[in-house]
Amino acid sequence: MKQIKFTVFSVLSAITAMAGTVVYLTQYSESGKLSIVERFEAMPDADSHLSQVDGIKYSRDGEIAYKWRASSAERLISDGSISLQDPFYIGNIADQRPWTASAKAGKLSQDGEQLTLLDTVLVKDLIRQAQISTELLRINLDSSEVTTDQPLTLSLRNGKTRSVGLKASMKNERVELLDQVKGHYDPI
Amino acid sequence: LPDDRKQAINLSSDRAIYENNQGVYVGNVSMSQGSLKIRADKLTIIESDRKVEKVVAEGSPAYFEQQPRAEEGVVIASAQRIEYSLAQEEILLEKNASITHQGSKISGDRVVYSGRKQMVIADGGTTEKENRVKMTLQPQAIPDSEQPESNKANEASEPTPDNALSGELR
Repeated sequence: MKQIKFTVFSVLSAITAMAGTVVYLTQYSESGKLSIVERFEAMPDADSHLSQVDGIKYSRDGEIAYKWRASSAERLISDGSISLQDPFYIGNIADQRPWTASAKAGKLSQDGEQLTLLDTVLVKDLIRQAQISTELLRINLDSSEVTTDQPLTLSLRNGKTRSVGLKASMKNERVELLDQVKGHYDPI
Repeated sequence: LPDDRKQAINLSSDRAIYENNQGVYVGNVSMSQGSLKIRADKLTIIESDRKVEKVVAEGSPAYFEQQPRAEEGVVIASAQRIEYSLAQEEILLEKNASITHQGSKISGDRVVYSGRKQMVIADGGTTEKENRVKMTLQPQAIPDSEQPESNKANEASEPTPDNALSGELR
């Protein structure tokens, strides 16, 4: 009887040991980091975490090209990009015609030239007195060109236009709605 | 209709471009505002102070339709270029222009229709190719009280011959 008890106990402990090894190998060994603090839920791929980030980019002639901020930013080892939480972007500051874009999440490319905003993206004053809402927006930070291939709603004071896809260039204040355009405007 | 301009504007097209206070709608464009309806390949909306001032429709041809008054028939116009000035309630039709209202039809190279003055000005154009103004005017229905007795008798027995007035003007 004693022998059987001994065998069951050893089998259970072997299983527990194996499970612990598997968890260690899959979750922690690669990044060499063990998450100890409850709040710090870092992505496995991130090598640094910043909170309440504010950034200013200057153009070649020393003017402010754009400003951005985020509640947190993490640089990813895999591709060197920066993953943002609650990003907020202010563009075209030098030309005294600023426009803004905000979202729940975002990603700044490794070369710092492409900002992709995701989830509840809200753009203001890209077209004067207009607001654009969509779920994904790409901003080329160098050329100030803005694109999306997703459905969007462009709201003006007296109505809305819906379409799929947008291409906008701040340099010549031109916005192109690419497909399935439907507008409804009340008389002013 | 007189209160068309108080109605909402609905627009649809394949693509649209906003630039310099203009909205250009391209591809299967349709626009409606009350009884006013426009169909075109390209529609340009020119605004000033965020108010629609002028609508320019281009197509092969572009179509325009509106009912001037409740008791009247619909005005149907078509041309390669239609310019509709909202404030003046005036439509300028250019190239293969034609306008039809209550059976009467006027066509030419250039036609201007004023909804407010209920007036049509047609022009044969200056190109060498003869593009004369053509008109077919439907007779206005004469109230029975004004009709002479003999006509009434004829009317009862035979159908009215098609005595529309038609002609060409340079």
